[in-house]
Amino acid sequence: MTGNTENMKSAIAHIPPSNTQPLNNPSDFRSRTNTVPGFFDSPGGGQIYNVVHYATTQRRAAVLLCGPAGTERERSYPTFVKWSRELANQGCDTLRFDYRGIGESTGRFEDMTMTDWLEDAAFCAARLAKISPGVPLILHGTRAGALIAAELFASGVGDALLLWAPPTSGHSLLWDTMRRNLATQMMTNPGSPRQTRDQLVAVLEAGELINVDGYFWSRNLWADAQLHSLARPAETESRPWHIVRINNLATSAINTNSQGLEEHVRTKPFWEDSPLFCPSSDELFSASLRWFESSLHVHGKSA
Amino acid sequence: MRRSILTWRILDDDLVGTCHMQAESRIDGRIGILLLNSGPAPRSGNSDLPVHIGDRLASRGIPVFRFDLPGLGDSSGSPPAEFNTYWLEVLQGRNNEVTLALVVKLKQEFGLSGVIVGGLCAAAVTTLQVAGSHAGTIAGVILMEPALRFGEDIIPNFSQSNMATALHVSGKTKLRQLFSVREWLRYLTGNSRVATMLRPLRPHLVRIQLLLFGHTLHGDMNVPLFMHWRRIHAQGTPSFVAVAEGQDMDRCVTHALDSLPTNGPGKVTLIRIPQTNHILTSGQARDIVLDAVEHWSMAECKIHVSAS
Repeated sequence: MTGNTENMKSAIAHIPPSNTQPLNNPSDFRSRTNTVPGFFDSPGGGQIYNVVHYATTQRRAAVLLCGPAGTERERSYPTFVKWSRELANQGCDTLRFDYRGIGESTGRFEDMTMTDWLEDAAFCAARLAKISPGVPLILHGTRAGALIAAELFASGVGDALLLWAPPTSGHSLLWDTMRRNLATQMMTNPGSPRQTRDQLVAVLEAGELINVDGYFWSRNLWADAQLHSLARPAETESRPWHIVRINNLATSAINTNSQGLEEHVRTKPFWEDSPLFCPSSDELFSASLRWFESSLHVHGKSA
Repeated sequence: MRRSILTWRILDDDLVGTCHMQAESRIDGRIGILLLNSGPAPRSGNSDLPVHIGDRLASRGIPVFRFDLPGLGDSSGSPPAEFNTYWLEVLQGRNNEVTLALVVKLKQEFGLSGVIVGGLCAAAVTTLQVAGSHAGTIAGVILMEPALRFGEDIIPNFSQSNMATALHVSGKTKLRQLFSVREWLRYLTGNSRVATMLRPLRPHLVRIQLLLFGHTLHGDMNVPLFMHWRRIHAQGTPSFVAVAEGQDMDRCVTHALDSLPTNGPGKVTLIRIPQTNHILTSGQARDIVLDAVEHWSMAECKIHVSAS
């Protein structure tokens, strides 16, 4: 314990006195880490937390990461930090953000819907385009974020689209999340009263909130989710797009057309429970980077 | 009330934190609260409970800071490989130095008179280790589901002699374990079949245990961590404890409280939350914790403000 105490005294000695270092020094932080965390003031009110990872090599693209929501966000956080740093090393300015009501962004989760999160994504896409002008803007969505990114892309935003593990709709995503939540509760808290998904939906539709993994779902969220089906790019879509589905089978392309590629990649779903802090997503990263290279080449807009 | 981001260089790592503070309020001389990562989760924790705590307390004039420790969330540093290895590193003091450095820095930069430190599970471990090793540095501790037990499900491969192991055990090892301190503690504390038979002698045996070991804890309790808590208690540092009722940590904390001196100057506030889980995400845990932390913090911070 004495050694430990000495280490701590030494640690304190290394802290500069307050008059030699500004309270908050983002420029130093950026120069060392190539990242800038901060808040955007949302036009809908509130603050949207975001982290911009600046390209460490010649800038070729800007990537907006629309991540998962709720518990899936917590579990996938290390993977997205790693992925953002990888993209920055590949010449992509990368912006990841928290939807309002989730994580560091302000707002109450119970007041939010997927439509609100779509607005957040659109706002962040516009901000990223200003931060990184003159390069293609790539929308990258995962899980709930895949539904959002695909809708944004369908509305004409972005020059390319990458989706990881998109659900078929907001409804199916919430329905599946409820199932896993009930199963987890049965295992971790066997004394708690048993409920079925239909009972939970009845509670929601009666206007009450339900607690799913610590997030309070509202009737508005449930109803709004039914309006968001996966906007899969049409065959006539001229901008590049890539859909990656995760499974335990071998990696394989399953569908291609002139601009689109849909493939299966063998990897663990990193947004689910795992004993690993950051489950390996090497194959997923490789498949996506391969597509980045080809789509940037095809697009011909890289700086 | 607005949130702001802090980016601090601490002990060769670039840490990212969130500050919850009322823009118009003066905080010089006040007590602030530092919340640490719940295990390896990002600083927003599980289901954003630390975020809600930050907003609630800031709305009452108490500044709250949440930092990602090195290797976690948005901060730099080597990320842990697995949850289990992270857990072992936390027990060995992985986050102690940086936590202490953050406390010192928060006091310097914001003119705080003291800092209460806390968090859930692994965060509570670091909190107790730092507070117990540095008398008077920390103004209070918030211990949510504090991991006071060396359970085999918690730490599967820990090899130190005073810690449980889930590795396959040989007959020789079993024999050695039979005569280990841990096994004797199990007898003495009524946690075995032999102890049940010797129940009439238990009060005397417990007294003997207290004399020999200085506590009356079960064999799978993290005794060094408990000793930190006892030191904190003896110093008069207040503790806020929240546990999931009827679950492992509830039993551990209840048992540990029995071993804390009843006449110590420290005050322990315990809330037991029904129908929830270890990470406090089910049932009404969020609202119960928010109300209780607010009530406790207001009382503790007022005490310190008036004292200063």
